[in-house]
Amino acid sequence: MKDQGSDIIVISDLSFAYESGNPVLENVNLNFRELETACIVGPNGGGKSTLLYLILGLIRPTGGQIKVFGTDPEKARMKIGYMPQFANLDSDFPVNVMDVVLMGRLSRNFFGRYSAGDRKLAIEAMEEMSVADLAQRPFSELSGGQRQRVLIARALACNPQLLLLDEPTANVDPCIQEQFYETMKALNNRMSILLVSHDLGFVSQRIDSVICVNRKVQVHPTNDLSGSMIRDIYGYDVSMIRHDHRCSEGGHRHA
Amino acid sequence: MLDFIRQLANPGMSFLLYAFLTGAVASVAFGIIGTYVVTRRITAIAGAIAHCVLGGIGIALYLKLNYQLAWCTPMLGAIVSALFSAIVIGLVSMYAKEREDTVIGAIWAIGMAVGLLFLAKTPGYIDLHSYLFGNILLVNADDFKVTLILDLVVLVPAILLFNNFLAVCFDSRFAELRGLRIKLTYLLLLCMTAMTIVLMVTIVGIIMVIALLTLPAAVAGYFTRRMWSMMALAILLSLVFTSSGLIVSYKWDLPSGPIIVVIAGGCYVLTVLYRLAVKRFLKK
Repeated sequence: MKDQGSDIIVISDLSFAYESGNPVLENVNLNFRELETACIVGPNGGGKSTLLYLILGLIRPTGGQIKVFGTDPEKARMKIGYMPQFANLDSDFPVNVMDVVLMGRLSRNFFGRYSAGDRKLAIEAMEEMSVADLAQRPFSELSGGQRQRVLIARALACNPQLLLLDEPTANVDPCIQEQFYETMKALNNRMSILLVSHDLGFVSQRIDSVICVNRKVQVHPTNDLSGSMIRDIYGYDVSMIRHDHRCSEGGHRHA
Repeated sequence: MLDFIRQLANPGMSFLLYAFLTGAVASVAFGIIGTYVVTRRITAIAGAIAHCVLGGIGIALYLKLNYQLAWCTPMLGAIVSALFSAIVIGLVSMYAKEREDTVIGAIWAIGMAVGLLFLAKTPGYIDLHSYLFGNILLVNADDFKVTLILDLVVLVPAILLFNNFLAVCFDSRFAELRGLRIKLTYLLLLCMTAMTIVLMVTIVGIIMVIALLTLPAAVAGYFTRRMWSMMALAILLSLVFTSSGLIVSYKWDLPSGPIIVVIAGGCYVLTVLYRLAVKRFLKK
């Protein structure tokens, strides 16, 4: 495991419930290290998005504690590059790719004007995601895969220490997914990556741990597993992970 | 047309000049705010604010004529009620767990009803018709000055905060994560919309505000791919709709508000048909 880094997300005894009273998350304990890559999985309504929003400081826990980069999630936001699901955005909105990526350079100051330096960073982020040649294209005319790359470029333009990706592989064809994982690997050299996904086909080699969220949270490290073992255990097309066993907070091993 | 231009220069016909200038100046705000309203999909909110304006006008006229408060003009009432309803709707949609469209509908109707009640108890003749359907030909020099000021009030933040508004309209959660005060930005946008609506009431009246706010931007949206170019085209179209409506209304003695709306609406329908035809043609 690449465990040299310190913890950048520390969640202890966290619980969250909406006003209606139904608990969404209970007794969550989680440590996420610097330069780690983890994938949040779980059924719909299991609390994946809630966990994501807690980390982003968009909602507050009803119990327990969450620290991101050693401080309140709200204060740590500027260190996080967030990519939402593109399906949640208005696909008719009149913006081009450059407009979108530049939003990663927004800040509170100077009426939101962009400097030459901001533009340079945006272009670098686009080059990294191989979308620089699309810069002047309308966002509405892009394919799903292209939109995802543009939104990741926007997240990279924030110059983040942690990349938070919400369903980066949804609605994208397998060939592009493969490309995407290669890019993730390259990015992982300089930033931590936390992604939400339904798709676990890549668990073996690209992810350090799998965070299963279904009201409770369990961490399954994948570092000791080889690709062939995963295939043996789950079959080739891994699309789910077993939830029928319990493990300690630090995760467990599939012997 | 030539005759119309000659009339504009005629000192005896200054009402025509003021009408023309008012339409031209207000078009800038219509194009910019209309683009925000269309892309952010808050047409219903704009409609509710517009109808609340009647409430403000009613209360202002009631106070003015019953209590001899000369400063309490319909314009003041319109501005206060537009801002008030914009802030109420904004806060409700942000904080209350009510159904937003129900709240919008309620404010829409209550604003209008309050206005009608106060007007019923206001002595003397009130030209309700011109508030409901607009009459740009009634604009005088003072109204024109107010138009100019309101226009500036809307334009300055719209230009200075362009990037922030763009980000909040496109993806407000992301904007919030970049440290933008999204609630404040949204409230400001609603207040600017409210001011623009007050401008519009003089031109097309309360009932038809939504048409002039959304149609130019909707047409522009078909032909442009970026926010600023959509705004520029929407401004140009507003200008064309209001001034051509004015010419037609003057020439054939027709009410100006409905003519402007019919021209804008006709242009919109033609655009939609054109787009459908192009799509069909390209598919074959």
